[in-house]
Amino acid sequence: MVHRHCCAWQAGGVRIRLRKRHLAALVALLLVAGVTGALLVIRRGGEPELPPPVPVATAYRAAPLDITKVTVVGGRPGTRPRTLGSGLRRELAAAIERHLQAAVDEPLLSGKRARAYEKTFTATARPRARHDRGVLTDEALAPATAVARRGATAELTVLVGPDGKPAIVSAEVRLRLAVIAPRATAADRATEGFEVDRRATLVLVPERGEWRVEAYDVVVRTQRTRALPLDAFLWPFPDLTTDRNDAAR
Amino acid sequence: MRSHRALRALAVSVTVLLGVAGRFLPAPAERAAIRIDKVRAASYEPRPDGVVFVLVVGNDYRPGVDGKRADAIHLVGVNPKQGRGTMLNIPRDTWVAIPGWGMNKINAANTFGGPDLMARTIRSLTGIMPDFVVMTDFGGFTSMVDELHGVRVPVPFPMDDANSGARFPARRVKMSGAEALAFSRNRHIPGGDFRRSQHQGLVILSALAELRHDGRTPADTLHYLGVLYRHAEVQGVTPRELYALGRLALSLDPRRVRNVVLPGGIGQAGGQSIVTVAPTAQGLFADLRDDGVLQRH
Repeated sequence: MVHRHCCAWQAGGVRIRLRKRHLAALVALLLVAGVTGALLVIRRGGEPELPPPVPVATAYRAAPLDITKVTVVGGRPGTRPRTLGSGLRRELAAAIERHLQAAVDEPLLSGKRARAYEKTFTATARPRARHDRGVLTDEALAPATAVARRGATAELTVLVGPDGKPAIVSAEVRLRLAVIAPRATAADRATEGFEVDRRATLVLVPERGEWRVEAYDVVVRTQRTRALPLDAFLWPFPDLTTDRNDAAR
Repeated sequence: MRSHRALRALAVSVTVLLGVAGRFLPAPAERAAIRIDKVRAASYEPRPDGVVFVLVVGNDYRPGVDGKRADAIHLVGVNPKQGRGTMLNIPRDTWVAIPGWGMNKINAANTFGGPDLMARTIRSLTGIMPDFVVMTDFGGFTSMVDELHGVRVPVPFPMDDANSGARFPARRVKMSGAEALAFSRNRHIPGGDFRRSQHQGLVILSALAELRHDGRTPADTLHYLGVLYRHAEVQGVTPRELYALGRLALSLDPRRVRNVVLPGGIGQAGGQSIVTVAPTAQGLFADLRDDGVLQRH
């Protein structure tokens, strides 16, 4: 004899009997309803709240600017261009580093608006630089919980004037950063990363005792990555200030 | 049979479940491990706002030749807003009033007072005071062209001139510095000095086209300025100004630059052959003066 019912309940004198196929359909229906409901709750803000953004980056790995190529052009009539002295090379590297620190690293690390970056431009370029703030700085990604420079390089072309003094410099700068996004939590640190590839042509001129940016052409590509390796960062990072100062030098 | 129905019901339910879940769940990681979220760009370089006039002078100084007479004289007007310009070619024998020296050929102004007097003579002739003066000699011109690896010039008709050394077929010719100089100096052609002056303008515009083709980045601009600095005398221009002018020049399409010769005729003065300025030239100067662009000529 084949049993027609797999289950039977007695409640209030009413006997409820379920066949196997009814039971399977019921279980599946409950499963669908439950999961769908849970997903809708999550979509409507049921997600556990993230902690507030971390105010300052807790990890930072610096990579000092590396000047990979220098070309010297111009000079006095009838002479060949000379090479760039080591002092000037250091001066130019410091000026570019100062600009990058002020426009990119500082706002990312502090979570505050880039304050000093405008000072790295000439008086002529400053109003336009203020207008292009969204591109020239990485304030949009701030405050980051961790920042690592993948690399910072510059190729220089130096125009020496007829008086023999360096007058204008074109710098092809590339800065690559790995950034832990501001909304990242300790738990999802490995999945909330950004890779920022910043390529810039900066034209530098001497003004008020410093090399400053007179003209620029900047392209920034920001990629979101789900699998940012944690070893991209020095973690935990013992002394932020020391390394940032090292980078500036 | 019944168990088959039960399994089918379960399969349908699971399929529905997966479909609903797929609607809300994120895509598998391997499908979007990395994606480009945003590309941002900004570009700025200071350029002159207003019309700029540059006087370009080629003088005939070379070893064994006394003085520095202006052999090629070109007043270039550039209108940055319109992206247009004018090259007014002035024949070297043009008879003009040289401030403080009376009437003479315009090329004598350079001998009498250098770039400054050349500029003032241009103002006396046209009513336009050039903002900058760029001056080079034969040696500077040839070495400058050579350092830029030559210039391609559209030769309008065949040339075979023993005096200048200009020997070219009627087509676009890649010229060395010496060849470009010969082409620029050849006056034994239809139109004589007028046509020669126009050819000089053609060489300058061809060089501009060549430079634009070779590279227009800031680094390229500095390279070109470096060549200019080492082979030309630049008067009253700071490197920053020169850079801005260089960027302006490279932004200019040579096809949008009118290459015109000062209207005039041939005459005699003091026993020498001269070029007289045509009365219609005053209208041309006025047309050029207001915005660096010729609208009516």
